[in-house]
Amino acid sequence: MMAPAEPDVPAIDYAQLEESTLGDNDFGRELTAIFVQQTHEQLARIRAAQAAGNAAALRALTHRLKGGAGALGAGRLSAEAARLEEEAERGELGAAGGRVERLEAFFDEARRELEHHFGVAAP
Amino acid sequence: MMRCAVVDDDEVCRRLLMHYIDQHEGLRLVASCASAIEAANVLRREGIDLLFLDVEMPGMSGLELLRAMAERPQVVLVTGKEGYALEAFDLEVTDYLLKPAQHAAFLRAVARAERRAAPGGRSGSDRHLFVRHEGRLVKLDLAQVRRIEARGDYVYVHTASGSRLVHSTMKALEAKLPPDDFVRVHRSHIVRVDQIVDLDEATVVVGRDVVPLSEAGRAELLRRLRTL
Repeated sequence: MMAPAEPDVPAIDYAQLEESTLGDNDFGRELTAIFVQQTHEQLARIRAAQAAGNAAALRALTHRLKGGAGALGAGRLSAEAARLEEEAERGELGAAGGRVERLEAFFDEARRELEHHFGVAAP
Repeated sequence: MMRCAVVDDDEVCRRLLMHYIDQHEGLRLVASCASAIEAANVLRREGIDLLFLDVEMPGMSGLELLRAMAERPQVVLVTGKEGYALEAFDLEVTDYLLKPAQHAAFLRAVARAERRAAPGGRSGSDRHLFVRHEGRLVKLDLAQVRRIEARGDYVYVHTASGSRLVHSTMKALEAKLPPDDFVRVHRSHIVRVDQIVDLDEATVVVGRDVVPLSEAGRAELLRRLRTL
């Protein structure tokens, strides 16, 4: 999936990534594997909450996604999760479908960059 | 060596803090929990000195966990939102980290916790004070004290649950109170800073009580409030 353009925010903020891993690539690989697995699951739940129009669940799930993505420097994903979290908090779900698609695209982009950076073979 | 626990429903955030703790020679990781409920059980079993606690978690929030604990370890709140600072202050947390937690900020929080845990620091023993009341030495929980008022050779200690007449002078009592928490606002009045509701030129409202302010007391109070 081609990620939508978001020129102001990097897909991966490598300074943040370095900060989080303390330059330890083994730990970076471990963190990436956890991130990929848990974000797959979170996105499935986010999609289900959006389809059900469940703003409270959407808010909680995107809040959590924002934190994990931010820790790995996945800036676009984290920023988009923050936008959807704010909208869900206000009960505004009109744009939620499009936002979820962008989350999926930004996740795909972040996953590819992280796996490439740490030399992880794609499954 | 401080015994630590990490509580966060997000595994990436949890692992990141665990990694920071592993790298710090003054810390030892004792437990990591994915929910506040799990943490409540762990905290009952384990002696934890320092708790890294996420705020927003499903089921029970980090703040709800803190309010439910009678005895709390030092706490560093770790959160994605800035809006909890006031509550964090009320709950007397040691520090507050914004996600993603930066290593330098983590180290500052740990250094602050170590200072508080050190002899003469602000933890454990100076949360309480033994005072003379009706011929006995009675333990006074300083977190419950709203204000103190002079009455001749005695002082009235006002708490949320009532007032207690204590045999002491204001000067002697003031010297034993944690200076970060209490301020003398008048010759006859000491108030707990986090209990202040508002103030004007001549009075300060503490809880529901109106307390007179001296000129020097007001200046000192304003100086303190600016540092909060």
